[in-house]
Amino acid sequence: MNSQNNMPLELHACMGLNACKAHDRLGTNECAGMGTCATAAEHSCHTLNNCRGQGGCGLYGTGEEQDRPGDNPCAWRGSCAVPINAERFSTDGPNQGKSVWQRARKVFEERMKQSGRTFGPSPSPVGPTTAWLKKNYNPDYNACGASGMSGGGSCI
Amino acid sequence: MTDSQRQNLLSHLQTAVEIELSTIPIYLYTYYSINRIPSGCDASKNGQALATYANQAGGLIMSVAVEEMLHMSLACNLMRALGGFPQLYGKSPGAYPTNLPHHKKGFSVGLSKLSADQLEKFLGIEKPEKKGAKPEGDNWETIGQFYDYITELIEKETTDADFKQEAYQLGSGKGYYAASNIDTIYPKDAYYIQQPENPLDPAARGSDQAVYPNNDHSGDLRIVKDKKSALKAISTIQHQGEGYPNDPTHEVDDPEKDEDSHWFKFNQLHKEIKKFSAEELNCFIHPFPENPTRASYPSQFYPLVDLANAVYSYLFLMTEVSYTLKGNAQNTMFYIGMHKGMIFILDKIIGGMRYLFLNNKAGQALAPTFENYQFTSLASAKQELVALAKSVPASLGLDPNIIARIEVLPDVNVGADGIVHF
Repeated sequence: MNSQNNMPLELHACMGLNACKAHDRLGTNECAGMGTCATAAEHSCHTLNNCRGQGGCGLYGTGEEQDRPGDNPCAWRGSCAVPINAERFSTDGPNQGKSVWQRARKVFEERMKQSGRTFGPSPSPVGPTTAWLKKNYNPDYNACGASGMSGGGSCI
Repeated sequence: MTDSQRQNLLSHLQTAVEIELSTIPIYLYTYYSINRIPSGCDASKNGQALATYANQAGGLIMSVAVEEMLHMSLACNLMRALGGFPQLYGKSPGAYPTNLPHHKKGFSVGLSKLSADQLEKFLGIEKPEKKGAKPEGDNWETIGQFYDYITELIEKETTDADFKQEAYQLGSGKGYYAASNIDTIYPKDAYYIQQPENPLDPAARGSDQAVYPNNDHSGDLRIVKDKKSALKAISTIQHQGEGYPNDPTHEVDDPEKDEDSHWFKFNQLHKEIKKFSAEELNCFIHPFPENPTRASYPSQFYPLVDLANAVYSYLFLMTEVSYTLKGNAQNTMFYIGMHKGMIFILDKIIGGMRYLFLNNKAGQALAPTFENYQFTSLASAKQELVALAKSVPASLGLDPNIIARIEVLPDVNVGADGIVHF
C-alpha cells in the first residue's frame, strides 16, 4: 500500500520497473519507470517469491525463466533475488552473461508499450549497485549463489 | 518385447538409476568441503591461485553433480516410458565407503573432502571405456559398458510401441532442469572482485570473468517416447560422463566441443591440485571427517544431522512421487519442491553445519552424512520433516528462514483428488 493515499501498489522487482506514479517503495516517484526501489517483498532467491512479478532472476532457473526477470507468472516461479543488483548477470538462456537489471528494464518497457503507457527514465540507467542497495535500501542486502558471482554475496 | 524382457530391462534401468543416484552424495560431500570464496588464502604467496582453484573446483564439481541428477532423471524417464516405477527413496548408498551398484569388485569410494586422492576416485567413477570394450550388464568395469549393455537390450528387444507411457515422465520446457546456474559457474580469476566496477556496465566485471562449464545442448531432460529417444537419453548420459566417442582424448562431450566431459573436468582438477601443498589447501577446504555417520558424531548434533538426512531423503521422495503425477500436480511437486528443497533448504543446512566443530583433536567440522532417513510413513513424512526442523535447538544455529521453507514444501502425501498440498 502507498502510505500516502492507501492505494494498492503494483508489485515490481526493482528500481525503474514501477508501472505507475508513486509506485516505488517510497511512493514519491513522478512517473512509471522512475521509481527508486522494489515494492515486491525482498527475497534472496529462486522460488522464494510470494507473488507474480516478484522474481528478480538471473542466478538459478532455466534460460527461458532467466529471460523474463521481474515478469514471472506466479508465486514461487521467480528466478532470483529482489531487488536486482546492477552487477548481476544471467547464467543461462539468451541473456547469459548480460545484465539482469537491463533485461528486466527492457521487459518492463515492452510491457508498458503494449499497455499504451508512457514511462520515464530509471533513476539509474544500469540499475542499483550493491553498494547503493546496502546504503539506501538494506545494509544486509544479498543475492545468492556459492560462486559469489551474483555481485551481491551469498544468501541464507 | 516380452514381459520377461521388459522386466529385465527395467531391472537394469533401476540399477542405472541407483548408479547415478549414488554418485550424487559422493560428489556433493566433496563439493561442500570447499569454501568457494575463501578469505583465508590471501596470506599465502599462492593466495590468488588457491582462491581461483577453490571456486573452479566448486563450480566444476557442481556442474557434474547437476548432470548426474539429469542422468538419474533420464533413467527414470526410460523406466516410466516402459511402464515401470523408478525407486529412489531409500536407495542412496547409506553407508560409506561404497562400491557403485553392480560394479565389479575392488572399487570403493566414500565421503571425503577435496583431495588428489578423492579426485582419483572421481576419475574412477567416470573412467571412459576402452574402444571395443564389451557391454557389461553386471560386474561392469565402466559406466559406459553398463549403458552399452542397456543400449543392446533396447536395440535388440524393443520396438517404438514399447515406449508408450509419456504422461508421468519429467519433460523439458517445464523449468525442471537448467544446465547452468550461479553455483556451476566460476571466475577465471578469483581476484577479479578486487577490480573496480565499470559504472556504465556494473555487470561486466563478473560476466567477463565467468566460465560456464555446462552447456544446454549437451543434453537436456527429454520425454522418452520411442526407441530413438530412448537411445538418445542413454547417449546423453554416456557422453556427458566419459566424453564424445569420436574424441580419443575424452575431453568434450559434444560434437560442437562446447562442454567438457565429467572425466575431463575431474582430470583437470586432479592435475591442478598437485600444484598446492596440503597446508595451502587447508585455507579453503573445510576439515571434514572421512565417511562420517550420525552415530560417529557427539549426540548434541543429532537433531541437525537427522534434519539434513531427512531433507536429503525427502528430496528423493518428492522426485519418486513426481513420477506418479502428471500435469500441474507434477509441476507443483517437482518444480517447487526440488528447487526449494535442494537450493534453499539442504544447501543452507549443510552450509551452516560446516561451521560447527566436533571439538575433537583433529579439529574436524560437522559434515553431512547423507544417510537414508526412514520416515514413519508416506502419509506423515511432511509433518515429520517439519517436526524435525522445529526440534533443532537454537544452539545449533538453524536459520528460521530454513524452517519456514520446510513448512511450505509440497506434501508427498497426494490424495485421490490429485491436488498437491503444502
